[in-house]
Amino acid sequence: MSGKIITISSGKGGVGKSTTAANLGTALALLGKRVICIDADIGLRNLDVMLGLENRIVYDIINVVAGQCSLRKALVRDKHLSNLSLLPAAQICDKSDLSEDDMVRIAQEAAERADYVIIDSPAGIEHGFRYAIKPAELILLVTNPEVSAIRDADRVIGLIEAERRTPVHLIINRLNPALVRREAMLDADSIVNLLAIELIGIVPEDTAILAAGNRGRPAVLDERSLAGKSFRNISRRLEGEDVPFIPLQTPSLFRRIFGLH
Amino acid sequence: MNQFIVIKGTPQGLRLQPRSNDWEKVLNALHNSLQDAGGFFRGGRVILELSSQQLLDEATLAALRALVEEYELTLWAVIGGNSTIQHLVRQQGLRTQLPQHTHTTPTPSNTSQNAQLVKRTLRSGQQLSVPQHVILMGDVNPGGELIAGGDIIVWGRVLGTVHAGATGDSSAVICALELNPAQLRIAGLITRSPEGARQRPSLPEMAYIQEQLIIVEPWSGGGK
Repeated sequence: MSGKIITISSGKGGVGKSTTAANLGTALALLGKRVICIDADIGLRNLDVMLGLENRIVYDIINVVAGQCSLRKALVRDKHLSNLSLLPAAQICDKSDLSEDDMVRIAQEAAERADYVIIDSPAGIEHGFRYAIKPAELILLVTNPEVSAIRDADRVIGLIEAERRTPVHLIINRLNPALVRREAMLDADSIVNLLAIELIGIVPEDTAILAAGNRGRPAVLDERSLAGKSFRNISRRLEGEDVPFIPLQTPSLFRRIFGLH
Repeated sequence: MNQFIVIKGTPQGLRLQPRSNDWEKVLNALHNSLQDAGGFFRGGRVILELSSQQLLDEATLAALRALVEEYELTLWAVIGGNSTIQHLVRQQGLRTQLPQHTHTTPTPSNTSQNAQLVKRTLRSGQQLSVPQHVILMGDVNPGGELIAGGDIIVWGRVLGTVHAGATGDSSAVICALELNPAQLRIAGLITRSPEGARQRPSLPEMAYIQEQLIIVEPWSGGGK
């Protein structure tokens, strides 16, 4: 029985695709699953940095495609969890060096030796996006509570729906409850209402994420991080568990202390 | 404005007024303008307006027709020009005169009583064009575009762009459960939502043309 292939996509850049891939991969591994993360952003790799594995890379995905080494040899094992590994992107090549068929072949080979294969898609809706979603059994679409990110997410859903039946689930990343309360940010309900796809996670804005990405130690490894907890919840939902969403709209600390509601 | 051709949008259609007898340059200028417009005029009718000195032969007329059709426009009428030209135009099945009263323009026959029912959501970047009336069960999201030759009824939210009466039918209406479009077009008229977020109760609304203005009012069912 081969593992499940999940592609993390967004359309717009900078919404947190690689952060999501690194954290979900780590969270699933924490649940005891065998996980392989594939960085499909050829030429602009950074999933290795998020996972803190940059200095361990010897081979990359293009070496595997060209038959210069086996998939097993190219995989970089995570330093925290032995059941998590990364297939790095090539940095000196570009996206035209990888075809949709190559991606399907590699993802399926990876799925033979893992419970989950997480593909980190490049931004945009061009060739890189297309080969990244090709092998997917499930697409997790990451968006921010910003009009432009939501517009691009909507466009991506349309493109996916026009071509295939792959289910698409939504992750709203970097939601700031305080800004939502002041009506300065779109709330999760209106986003889900517009995009009309299943919501699988809401990740609050968390400075720990930035620090974690820079240190190469995903926030899910930090018990106190709220964003980390949200990613852990998403991994449990992927496992079929019914996990309630963390209530983010609770009154602020200030209001609670002074009894204002 | 271009030295070879003047292009005017009118309620009856797109008026082309060539300013030169060098048709190659005129067609070139038209090609450039249509390209710049990026499909903005799509679905509209074209009226070629000639001065009395202007010449036009069959091959040029065919070339013009092919050019506008490339941009999904229809050559509808050629007005002005000498009697030889008028004869040629009639032979091609085109109008040589425009109807006098624009607001009583009869509904073009292809929009008659036929409607198409579509069940889907038009997402950003998606476009749907229907030659007749259209009933959409779903939303038109921001960045989506719905175009119909006749009326548009949306059982859902309109947040993108809608164009009713796209072939020039100014009696076309747009009805929606929630009408909050980026841009609303009926025949040759265009309007957009007021700047800033509209905080209106989301009740069904209908848009139509009255005295060359697009009017939007609560829709209580039925026609106008």
